[in-house]
Amino acid sequence: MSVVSGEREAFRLTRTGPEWRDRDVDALRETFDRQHCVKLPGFIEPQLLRQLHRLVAEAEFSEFVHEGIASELLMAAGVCTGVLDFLVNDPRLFEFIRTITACAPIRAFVGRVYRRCPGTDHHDSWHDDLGRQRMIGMSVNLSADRYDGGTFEMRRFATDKLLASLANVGLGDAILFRIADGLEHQVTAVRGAVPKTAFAGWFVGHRPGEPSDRAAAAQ
Amino acid sequence: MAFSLDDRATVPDGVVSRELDGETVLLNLETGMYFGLDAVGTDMWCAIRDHATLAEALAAVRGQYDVNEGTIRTDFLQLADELLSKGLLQRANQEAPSAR
Repeated sequence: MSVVSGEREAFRLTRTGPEWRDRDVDALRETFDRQHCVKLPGFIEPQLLRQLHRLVAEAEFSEFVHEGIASELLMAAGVCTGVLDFLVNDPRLFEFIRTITACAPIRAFVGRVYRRCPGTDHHDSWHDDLGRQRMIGMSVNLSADRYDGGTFEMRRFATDKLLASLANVGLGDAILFRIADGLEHQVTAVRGAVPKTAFAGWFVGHRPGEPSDRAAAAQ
Repeated sequence: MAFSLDDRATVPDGVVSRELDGETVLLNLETGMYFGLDAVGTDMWCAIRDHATLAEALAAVRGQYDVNEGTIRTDFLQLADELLSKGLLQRANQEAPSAR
């Protein structure tokens, strides 16, 4: 007989919207302040995650190179990417993110689904993601199985000492990280036999396509 | 088959919703299709979601509006049927119809 009380995650994205416990917010904020990133276990509730896994399995990926930064498989725009955009472009989620990170007002989340396969040339390198009013990064693990490697690392620009090293291998777990001058991050190589699939992107201070975004893109 | 007020309706696992400024967007994950509800539709949706039977849900909605009973009943059942046809509601204890 189980005697576990059913303690749940500090935050979770459900079918009807975000839910979080106010009593956990201070600890998350303190962690984010200290290491410029924080992990949110169980970010996506299991029921919703099952639906998303089905969509991920049906989606198509193709090779993509971020010149000078990374190479990976990129999910084609379709039902899965549309659903994910719908789920995370939520004012209540933005409110939660601002509470944790104290960032400026968020207007949108802009993201992609990528897959990095072990034994290929898929890789990442240190980069800062600065520009286009990106304020906070987020990576949500959508991998079907537990993978090895693929660890998120953060450091001050061109230094050796890591500010944080977070394995994001729990299904539906997420990492939030700060985008700021002087900070850079990377994801280490995926090892073993299981690929890493993640929904990753940025909370930004503009809506994609609006004049301020086009100006930022032009720069 | 159309809903009757004796039916129990539930939201299929593959349906997500978001409320924004009193309106609601429903998304069917099977099809990727969006469906928007205005403020009245949102009240009806919430009532259906939160009550055991459609009759109970209708009673809850009726209490919020000063409208002819026949009118609100007709609008309510029309909405429920439309949501059923789009796979955004299902009869309790039934699987959602496959959209593909």
